[in-house]
Amino acid sequence: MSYDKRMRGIVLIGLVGLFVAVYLLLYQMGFYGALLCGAGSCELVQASKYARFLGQPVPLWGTLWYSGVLALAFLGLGPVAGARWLDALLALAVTGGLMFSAYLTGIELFILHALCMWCVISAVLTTAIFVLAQPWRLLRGSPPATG
Amino acid sequence: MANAKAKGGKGFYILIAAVVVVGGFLLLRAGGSTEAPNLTPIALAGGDVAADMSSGTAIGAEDAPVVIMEFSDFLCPHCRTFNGLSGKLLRQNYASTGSMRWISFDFPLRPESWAPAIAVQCAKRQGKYFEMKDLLFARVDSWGQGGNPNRKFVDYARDLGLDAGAFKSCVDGQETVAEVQASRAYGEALGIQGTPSIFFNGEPFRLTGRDYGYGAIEEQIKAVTAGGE
Repeated sequence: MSYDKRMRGIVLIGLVGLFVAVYLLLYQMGFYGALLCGAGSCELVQASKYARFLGQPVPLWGTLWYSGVLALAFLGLGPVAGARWLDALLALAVTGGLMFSAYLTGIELFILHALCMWCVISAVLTTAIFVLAQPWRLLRGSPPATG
Repeated sequence: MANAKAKGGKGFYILIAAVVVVGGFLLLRAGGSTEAPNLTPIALAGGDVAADMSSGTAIGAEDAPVVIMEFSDFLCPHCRTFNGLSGKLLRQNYASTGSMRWISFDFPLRPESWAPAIAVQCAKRQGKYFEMKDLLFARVDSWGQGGNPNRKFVDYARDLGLDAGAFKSCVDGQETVAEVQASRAYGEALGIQGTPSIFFNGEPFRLTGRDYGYGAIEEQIKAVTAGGE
């Protein structure tokens, strides 16, 4: 898959993820009464102490992360496409995002014993973004494969 | 950006626009409802199963023209917000005036929600249901972080001036579990699936606005009392 197609894929998936994160953030801020998730697990996860990270709601971090990845992918569609610094930043962001997502999924599975549908969707989107960004190319020193 | 456009991504930008429109629409739509779905009105004066509210805890005159029923879960963040912004104030402002009767039902949605429900029922035995309810919601950040919260509940009972020994024996022995089960079973019979769920004179009430329905409920109370219903 070409660099351009991968960046476009990240933009689209990142946009969907951004909406998911904003939805969960608005829920935590009290804009919505109940999550569209059925009774049980979603609210249990959102009400737990793990729903905050560094004092801020996890969906806020998600919103910032998706916004950042979106911005980087958009840059990847522009004149700086394939720039080493851009790929490095994107690789850093998607790797960090995947690790944080794995941490949250682990908390859900092994500590809370509850899965939030929206968190699972976000984890899948994060994984897809990681795969599309192909950060391992950077480690291997592969060319950016633009075009 | 210009370069990307030059690469002929019309379809791509249409896709982006579609995602933005659909996502924005869903976000707005999701904000429209804060009630559990598929609730049917309750015939308050019917005397049938639906009107049997004995498993709830009431405050306010029995012949009040407005009856508000509330189903909540102590670990539900929106129940906490509703109680803080709306429920508590409505009880303070209208239950004592004879214009409103408020009936609270415990509807634990998750295993961890049973302990506070049992505790609030233990406080009810000593006449402090609503005081304990407000305290539990206010301090959920302290007791709701896992582990057995009963020790903290006993501290709260002391703060409220309850007989701590009797309260401790009640929560440790889970003496009020039957009351919680009855309350929850009643909510299930009404089709409640989420919390908070509110009924205004038997009609499911949609909680909207940043004040979690306070203004809308107050308006309806005034309308009912002014109309002499």
